[in-house]
Amino acid sequence: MSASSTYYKADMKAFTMPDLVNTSSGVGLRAIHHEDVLRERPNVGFLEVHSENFFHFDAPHFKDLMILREDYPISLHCIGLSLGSADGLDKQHVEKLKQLIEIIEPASVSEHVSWSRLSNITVPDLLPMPMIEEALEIMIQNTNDLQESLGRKILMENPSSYLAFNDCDMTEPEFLTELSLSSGCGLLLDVNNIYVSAHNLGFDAEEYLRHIPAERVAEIHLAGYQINPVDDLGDIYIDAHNNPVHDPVWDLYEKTIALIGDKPTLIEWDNDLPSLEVLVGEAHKADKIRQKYIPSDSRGDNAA
Amino acid sequence: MLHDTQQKFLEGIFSEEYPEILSSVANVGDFSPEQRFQVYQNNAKLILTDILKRLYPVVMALVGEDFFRYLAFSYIKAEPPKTCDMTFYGDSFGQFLKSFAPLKDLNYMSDVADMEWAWYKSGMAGRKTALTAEFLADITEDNIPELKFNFQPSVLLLDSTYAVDKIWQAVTDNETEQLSDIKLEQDTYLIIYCPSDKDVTFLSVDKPTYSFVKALYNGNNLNLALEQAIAIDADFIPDQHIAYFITNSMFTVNE
Repeated sequence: MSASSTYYKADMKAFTMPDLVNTSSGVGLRAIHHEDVLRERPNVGFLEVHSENFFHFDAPHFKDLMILREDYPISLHCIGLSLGSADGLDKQHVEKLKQLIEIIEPASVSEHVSWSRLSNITVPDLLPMPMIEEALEIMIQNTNDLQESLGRKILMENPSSYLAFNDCDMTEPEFLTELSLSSGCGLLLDVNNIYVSAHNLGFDAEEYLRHIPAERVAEIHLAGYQINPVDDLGDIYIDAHNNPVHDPVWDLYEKTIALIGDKPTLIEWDNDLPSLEVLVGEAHKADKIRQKYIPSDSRGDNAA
Repeated sequence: MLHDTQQKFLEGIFSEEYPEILSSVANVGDFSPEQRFQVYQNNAKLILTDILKRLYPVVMALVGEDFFRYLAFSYIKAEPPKTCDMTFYGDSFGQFLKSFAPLKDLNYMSDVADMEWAWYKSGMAGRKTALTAEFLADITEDNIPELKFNFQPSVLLLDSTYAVDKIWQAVTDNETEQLSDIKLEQDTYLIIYCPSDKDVTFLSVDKPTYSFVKALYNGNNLNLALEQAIAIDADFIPDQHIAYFITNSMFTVNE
């Protein structure tokens, strides 16, 4: 069966792009780089932080974000809303996010197509959703409830996957499309996640891309994966964010923007972090690729 | 159905038994459902163990990294996170160590963990406007006994019947060879505080001073705090302590 018959035609909501458009590529801001970014003010288009790391407004590192928000658009990337949870939203968590948004006034707010909390227990990871109608309905409901509570639309990111469930009703691109069209959320396309999942689950990454609605994509993520050998069977790729972006992912990135157009792009690096210079260098590498696909009459001066 | 699937998935993450969820995982490609599910088990274990390693480096140095991993996983299974905000995950680690059978002969370990937790919490607490010496200019002799002080949120008090400060210092200074020289059973009174935004430190004080500070910390006035200290040491004089706390911005103004 196709989920599109259920949702696509029934309730198509408009989506407004967040204010990250026409900037040069951004980088994830992590604690180890705070002082360097404050001092050097690198030439990047925006900074993205994990919202949950800034839920305590008295914490010393919160001041750093308050200073940097004056000079950079900020993207709040959530990792703990658990929008796929059958338990619904954690109202305390949503309230904290709402307060953070009021203070930071971010250009963009995003989350993942995943879950991490059930029955008052949380796993600090992005757990996979079965691609079934019930899961889609719950995720649409939770996303709607969140957006209503925040008073703004969010972006939803495709996950990296290491397993698939039996008896699926739809593909992941179908799930993402229906989620976006029914809830009005935008999509955050993580090209590394597509590459990692395609490798692990054996699907065609380019075919996946062809089923993503380009006009709903508002941001792209890039990161480095880790190769984990499993006995003598082969390698599972882990979305570890602990390496430079791998060459095949750069290739897929270029194919992505050739297909869906230039999009604000972010380099994520969370573990085994390099110097700020190396991190920013990755963002500039993305800029060079993007430049090839930006129409000459709309090129800004801010791309590195 | 989704709730049931997620419940089984969650149980499998923290389980060492064969997870029931595997019957719902597609058997595709080169890897078995079990090998695929292990990625999620390992991720969760790794992330939470890393949090505990960052919070409790002294405990880890004392028990060794391999044992610490076992200890951490025992804690994770017993007390998995309740919220996605991991800022204060691990707060009950010291309490958990008290009842952790393999450490029953190392009673000081939970107090060392409590000191490490206080250290982290102090660094995360942030700062309010500090009380300055000018404040003292407004004080008259009549109102001194009734004075009350508010402490910075980063000021934390800790007492132990073990020399946790000396153990902490030896491990932090990489001088573990000195551990055998430390007399473990020593009454210890600590004021942990954060004099600047990011550098936590501690002050080791005697029992009368600790009683005095604790009384103030609990909202009592200067007179009562002084009475408690003098009950332990008739010669106790608070002046230098008050001056030290003001100099180090440990008091806040009423806001």
